[in-house]
Amino acid sequence: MATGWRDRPAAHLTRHFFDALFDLGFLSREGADAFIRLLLGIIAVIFSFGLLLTRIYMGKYAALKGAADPLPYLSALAADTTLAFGLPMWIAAFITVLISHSLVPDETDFRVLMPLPVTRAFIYGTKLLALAIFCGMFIGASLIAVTPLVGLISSSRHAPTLPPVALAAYWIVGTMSCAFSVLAVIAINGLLTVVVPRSRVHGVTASTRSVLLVALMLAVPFVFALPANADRIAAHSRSMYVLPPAWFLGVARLMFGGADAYTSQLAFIGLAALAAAAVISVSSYVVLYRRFDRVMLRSLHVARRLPRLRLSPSTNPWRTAIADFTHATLRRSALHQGVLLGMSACGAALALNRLVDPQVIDWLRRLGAARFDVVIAVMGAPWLLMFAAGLATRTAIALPIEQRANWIFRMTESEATRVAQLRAVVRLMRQITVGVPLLLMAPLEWALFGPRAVFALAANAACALLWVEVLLQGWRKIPFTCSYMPGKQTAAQSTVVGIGLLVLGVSLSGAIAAGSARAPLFGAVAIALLGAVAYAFARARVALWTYAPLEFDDRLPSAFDTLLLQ
Amino acid sequence: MLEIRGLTKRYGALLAIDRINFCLSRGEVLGYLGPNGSGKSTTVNMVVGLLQPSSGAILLDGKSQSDDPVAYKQRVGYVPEEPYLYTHLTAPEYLTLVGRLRGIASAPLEKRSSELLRLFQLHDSRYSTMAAFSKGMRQRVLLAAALLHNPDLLVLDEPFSGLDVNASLLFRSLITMLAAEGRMILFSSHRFDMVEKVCSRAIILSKGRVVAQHDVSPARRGDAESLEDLFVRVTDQPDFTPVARDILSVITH
Repeated sequence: MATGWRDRPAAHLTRHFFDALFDLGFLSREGADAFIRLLLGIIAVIFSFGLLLTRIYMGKYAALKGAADPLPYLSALAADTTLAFGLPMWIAAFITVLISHSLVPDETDFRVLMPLPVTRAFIYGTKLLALAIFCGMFIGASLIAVTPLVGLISSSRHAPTLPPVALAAYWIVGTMSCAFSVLAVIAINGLLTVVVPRSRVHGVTASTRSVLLVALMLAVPFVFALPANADRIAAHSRSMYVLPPAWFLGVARLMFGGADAYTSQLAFIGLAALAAAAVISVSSYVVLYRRFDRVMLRSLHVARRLPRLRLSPSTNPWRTAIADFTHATLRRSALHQGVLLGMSACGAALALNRLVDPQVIDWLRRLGAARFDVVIAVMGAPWLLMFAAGLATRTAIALPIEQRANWIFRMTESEATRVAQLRAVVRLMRQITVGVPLLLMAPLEWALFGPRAVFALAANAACALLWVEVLLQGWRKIPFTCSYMPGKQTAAQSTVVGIGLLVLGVSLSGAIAAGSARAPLFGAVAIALLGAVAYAFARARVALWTYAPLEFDDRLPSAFDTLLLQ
Repeated sequence: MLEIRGLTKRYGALLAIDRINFCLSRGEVLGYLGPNGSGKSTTVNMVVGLLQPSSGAILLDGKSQSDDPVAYKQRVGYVPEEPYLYTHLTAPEYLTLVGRLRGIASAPLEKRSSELLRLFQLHDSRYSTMAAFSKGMRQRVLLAAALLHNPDLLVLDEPFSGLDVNASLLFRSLITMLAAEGRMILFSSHRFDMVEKVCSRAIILSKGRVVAQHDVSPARRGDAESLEDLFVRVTDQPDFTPVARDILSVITH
């Protein structure tokens, strides 16, 4: 009797690999369900964002479409088409980086599946199919989300192609551009896995993942700045040769009409890059297929590790124990490092977005007295860095690692040492949330205010210390030892609260810091007030730590607490 | 001496451990046996302080665990059933973490962990994270961590699982010597042969209750019922021959 596709071994294994891509490895059953709800929320946010973008562009194109001169419209159309390609390309690359640890079968697959009567080709084939379906799902969602925008911008009497052709071109070339993103990530990972010594493969690929995440986050302002390239495209600027979305604008023009020598050159670069990424991906995959053991089995032989540099040696063994454990985990766990660097890079991208403003760049070139709007732009950046770094650190240390190994912390918990252990968390939060952003911003603020930048930096530090205290209210966890429940709030709730805090913080913190530099007396009062509030929060936190036990099990807020009334 | 008095653990309506009593004297290795689900791990978790008993008492040298749990746990070393440890750390890093959490000063901690790693033949792998370690290697790390603070009571939950022959022989000698030095050792296992070789006495648990205590000292072995026979008798183990026959039937038809 003929069996359907769903009952075939290939379908079972593909489904297994596909489901495993949603399994982050540290979530309980409830946590995994919450994670899927969170993903659905994110997809809904992507669709909403696509509609919002369309709404924003309606005004711009109403004027352009009605104009007698087609040139402004054509120029804007070309630049906005690069945005329409750029957004799904970014999402495709981001998703592929997130699952880049699963691009080839792992040690568990090797040990479980290889003894079964299935071929290596079968295992690799089903793994690839699962990856293709996973990436395809997000690519499809992002192309659908941007389709209304493409429909809007391409429906004009001045358009080089009819709207149905433009939409078909967008879908075909958009898929090619996303394929380029996916293949580029696979090529980078594959090449490193093949080239790097076996003992270093896991470490190097984990670091690469973090670097790619950071690079993608930092690229966000440049993706949204793509529409500003209209003049460059019209002037046939060579700078567009390094922008992948522009390559696929060229491909679309070449395939569906409207190409000239310049867009043909862009298309040639794009097609060559796509081919190169495909060749490197396929080649590295073939090498890994032949040398299956290379990525499957970890090597015991590694070079001597350098001891960690200590900036301020602690004499408290309990605090040092937690600090060393935390640093080792952040250095070696791809997941935790990725979350910390990726989320922090979001803040860096937003800050960069403010700093690449033409006014700021102009001021940076001459470094004289700054105009008010430059001061506003620069002084908003520290909060963006501090906000994201604080949130990133808290999220990273809240995610568990080897949760069943936490028995050692449960066994050694005591009231006498708890506060010392948790102080390691405070120190880490302060180092990343206060120290790093201030170090990054100090040169700019010095350039802006001269010696009075000290007051601005002190105000920044006070805001960041308060933010650390807000984030640590109710915190009773040794980093990485407590179970994690994602999606305690809906994606929409988190987005609204996050944006609210971000916008409010940028205005308030920027105003306080700038005001402190201009009027030191005001600065002293503001810093004292912020410090007093932070101190009150810190006292409440320490008071909680002295009596409340450590937390090892996270719960959804829907789980209610009984009052234990007799 | 470790005294367990009327120890009970309930999970809602489920009675996991029902008023068990036993003692473990200094210098004694006590075998703790029972089929899966008998409450062995629950008892071990309560003895090491990971679980709170519903009622009953655990006393170490007359002092109740509940009176000063921290002081109690300072005197306990524990090797869990599965090698649950932080595999992204190297073995020296893990030992340093455990030693610091136990409040051992830096200099003796460094010296002791380095010596233990050498003696447990883990020194050559000291720069590798434990993700690359075999189960036996991880088990050796856990034993080294359990001994680091020189505990009075050592709780070993299936310590021979995954060990090679050499490491097993080393562990056996070590357990005997630790007991000879006056330490109390609670040895939970499924392996009768190991319990007979290592322990002086064994307790058998079934459905949350102590159903037998057995002297397994070499002097008693000649005339006494074997531990395995006693286990089968007191835990109501069914005759597994029909089950084995059924399995054979399932795979051949």
